[in-house]
Parts: sequence; structure tokens; C-alpha cells
Amino acid sequence: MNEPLMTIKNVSKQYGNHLILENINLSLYDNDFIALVGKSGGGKSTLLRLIAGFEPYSSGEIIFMNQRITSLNKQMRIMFQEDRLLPWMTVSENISFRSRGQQIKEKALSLLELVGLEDFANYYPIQLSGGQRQRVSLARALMANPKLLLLDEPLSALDALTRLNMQELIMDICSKQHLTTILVTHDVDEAARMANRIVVLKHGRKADEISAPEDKTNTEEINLIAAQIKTLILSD
Amino acid sequence: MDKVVPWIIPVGIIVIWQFIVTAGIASGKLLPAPSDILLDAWKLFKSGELQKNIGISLFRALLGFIIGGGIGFILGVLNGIFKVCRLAFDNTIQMLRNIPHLALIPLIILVIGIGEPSKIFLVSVGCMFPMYINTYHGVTSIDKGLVEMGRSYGLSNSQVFFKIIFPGALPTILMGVRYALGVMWTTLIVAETVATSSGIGYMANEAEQFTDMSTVILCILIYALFGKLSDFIAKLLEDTFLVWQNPREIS
Ligand SMILES: Nc1ncnc2c1ncn2[C@@H]1O[C@H](COP(=O)(O)OP(=O)(O)OP(=O)(O)O)[C@@H](O)[C@H]1O
Ligand SMILES: [Mg+2]
Repeated sequence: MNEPLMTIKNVSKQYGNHLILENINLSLYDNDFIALVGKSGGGKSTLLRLIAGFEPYSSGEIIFMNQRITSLNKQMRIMFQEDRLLPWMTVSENISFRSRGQQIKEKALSLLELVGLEDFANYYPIQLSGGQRQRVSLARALMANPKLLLLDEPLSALDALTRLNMQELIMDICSKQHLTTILVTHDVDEAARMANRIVVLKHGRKADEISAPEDKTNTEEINLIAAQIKTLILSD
Repeated sequence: MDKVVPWIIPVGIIVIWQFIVTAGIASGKLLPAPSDILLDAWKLFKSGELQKNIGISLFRALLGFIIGGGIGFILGVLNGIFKVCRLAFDNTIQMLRNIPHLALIPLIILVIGIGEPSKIFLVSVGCMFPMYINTYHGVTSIDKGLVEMGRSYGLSNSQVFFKIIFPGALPTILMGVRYALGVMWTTLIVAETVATSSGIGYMANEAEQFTDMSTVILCILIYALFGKLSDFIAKLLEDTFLVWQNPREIS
């Protein structure tokens, strides 16, 4: 195999005396789609925040594109559970909110097309549904052409049907744009359906790593893997 | 229809008022008819007194609002963003805020006299606190998630301020503007009635000495008009800058 895009080596994180993450090891390769699953409070979001450079880790190291991560990195974009759109900007302004210019505008529009919202460019977030807002948020994350996309349960607030649509959309975009992705999720079906590797976090440790079926049309095998992850998460 | 209905009562009152006085039901001395007030206004306008006094009152009000509101805004932003500033200033501001600023009138007259600065100073003090409180509140209640998003998406500190913190605080800041505009007028009225030799308040006070009822009522009407104008300005600012809260239907 070629060089990993990112290597997490023996990373631990403490808040005061609380050890939240303990000796996490993980390698990410180009075009990987990793699902991070585990019980609530298991440290999934924390790991994502360490990777994104929001917070320093207590020990170990995270190497991304041959550099140690010490702060925010332009090659990564994070998408949150809440859409975090700016209510005072229109949809297209929200996507291109960092800078101005004709090129930027056109890029924003093409991304809106990609997420199927080209007719909503001039709407304000308040005028959109939850699913539409997360689409805008996804388009915004893609604006800077990131190498790595970090998703912290971006779909958990959506209804089942919208959620399935969004899963399809994200998988489609990630493979088309050759994005490497880490998805945090509670939903084992979502993990099995979207990811190629599934990492189970338990009490701050990496409990297991499972390969998901390559063929995403094979529902039977996907359901099997999902059941297997579920048992893993629930067992003590 | 929606434009006409709100005016039925005010116009009705004026018509009935005019009728009562002209018919001799009420004494024109104690209650001058609207037509008398208009005549009085015309007289004062021709002598130039009306414009002069309105001008000077407007000048005091605006200058006081800009100085006091500006200071309140800046302090609100600084204390909202920087913990050091908050620690240094907030306690003192909260203590001063509890003194009714009109209670300062005797002190101010003694220290700065009854000239222009005393009125402008009073209006400034009155406008400063509502602007401070609202700006501070607006800045501190910004959704931290939005700021975190902005930083992680590569905004600089000043971009975070201008694209996230300021627009997010704006609804609350404009509430402060609305409130400060109200305080601005009441402060000015009181200050001009107590200590001055020009302005609408002075005009009213003078008229009172001569039991000149129409000028007294004229002054009250002018204040009412200015109050309405302030409201209109506040509404206009809100409608212009807060479209996103209530966007028009997009077809
Ligand atoms: N800033 C912080 N200070 C102290 N403790 C924290 C902080 N952030 C998170 N924690 C603790 O770290 C643990 C892991 O939290 P984290 O948010 O990573 O869990 P999670 O796996 O994402 O859970 P969920 O599925 O509910 O989102 C929790 O016990 C939490 O209380
Ligand atoms: Mg979480």
C-alpha cells in the first residue's frame, strides 16, 4: 500500500484527570471512508476535534500529509451535527462566505448544483428545511477543496428518508471528488452502508476495526455487518 | 385600507377638538383649538424662533446620541469580546448604571453650568447605558458554534468579528438603538426645561411663564413628532439590516 494520508499514533486525550481517549492508533489512506461508531460519551467527537486541530492532544501524534497536526488545517473541513449556517447570509453567501469574486461565486453555484439546491441560492437559511440546510453546509465544506472531510453526525437530526438521500449524496460526492472521509455516527446501518472501514470506540479505546462490504448494493451483507457492529458496541 | 385605519382616531380627535373649542364648549384660553396652534406655529416660524429652537434641540439630541451611543457600543463590544476589558470595566459600569442619570442634573449644572456641554453630556450618559447593555448582551450571546465554524473555516479575527459576531449581535444592538433614542428625547426634554436658554424645552418653559397655551401644546406636539420619527428610524434600520429574520417570500 502507498503512504497513508493520515496516521494517528498512540494518541491520548485528557481533560483534567479524565482520560477521554487512550492510545488510539489509526491509519487513513486516500479515498478511505471511515465510520467512527461507539456509545455516547465514548470520545468520538473528541477524536474528530483533535484531528481537526481544534484542541491539542495530550500525548502521541497525528501526522497529516507528512505534517504533525498542531492547529487548524486548510486541507480539512468539518461538518457538524447542527448546520451552523450564518442566518444573516443567503445560501450562496454562506457557501462563499470567506471571500468575494466572480470565480468564487461561480464555484459556489456549481457546488449548489452538486447538492441539488441551485434554485435556492438567494434563500436565507430560515427558509430551508433541515435536510436542505445540511446540503448547504456540505457544499460549504467542499468550497475549499479539502483532502479530508470530517463529519460529526451531520445527519442525526434528519428524518429517515431525508437521511437516506443525504447518505447517497455524501457517498456520491466523496467518491467523485476523491475525498477521504471520517464519519462519526450513532447509526450502525449508516456506518455499514457508507464506510469501507468501521472503527469501534469504547470507553476511549479503539475496540475493533471492521471492513465493511465493498458492494454497497449487497443489503444482506450490510445488514450482517451492521448487526456485528451493534453487538460489539453493546458488549462489555 | 391598512394605511388609512390607523389615522382615523388621531384625525378624529383633532376634528372633535376643533369643534369643541369653536363651538365654545371649552374655553379657548385653556385649550386652544388646533387651528390656533397652527397659527402660532406659523408665527414662530416666520420669526425664525421655531426653526432655531428645533435645530438646536435636534443638534443636542443627535450629538449626545452619537457620543453616548458610540461609547456604549464600543464598550459593549470590547467587554463582550475581551475578558480583560470585562474584568476592568463591567463592575464599574454596572454601578454607575444604577444612578438615574437625570439625578445628575444639579451636579452637572454646578460643574459645567447650563451651556451646551451640560445638555449634550446628559443625553450622552442617558444613551450610553442602553447601548452598552444591549451591545454587550448581543455580543456575548452569539452562538459559539458559529464562531468555531468560522475559525475552522479559516476566517481571521477581524473576519470573525465582521461576518459573525457583529451581524449576530445586530438584532440586540438595534434594540439598544431603539431604546437609546427614547431615552435621548426624555433626557433632552428634562434638561432643556430645567436649565437652558434655547431649544424646544426652553420654548415650552417660556410659554408657560406667559400662560401661552398654544405654544406649550405646540412644543408637546413637536416632541411627539420627534418621538415618532425616532421610532420610524429605528424601524427602518431593523427592516434594512434584519431582512434575514423575516425574508420576503421568494417566488
Ligand atoms: N471540553 C471538555 N471538557 C471536559 N470533558 C469533556 C470535554 N469535551 C468532552 N468531554 C468529555 O469527553 C467524553 C467524550 O465526549 P465526546 O463528545 O467525544 O463523546 P461522543 O462519543 O462524541 O458522544 P456522543 O455520541 O454523545 O456525541 C465525555 O465524557 C465528555 O464529558
Ligand atoms: Mg459527539
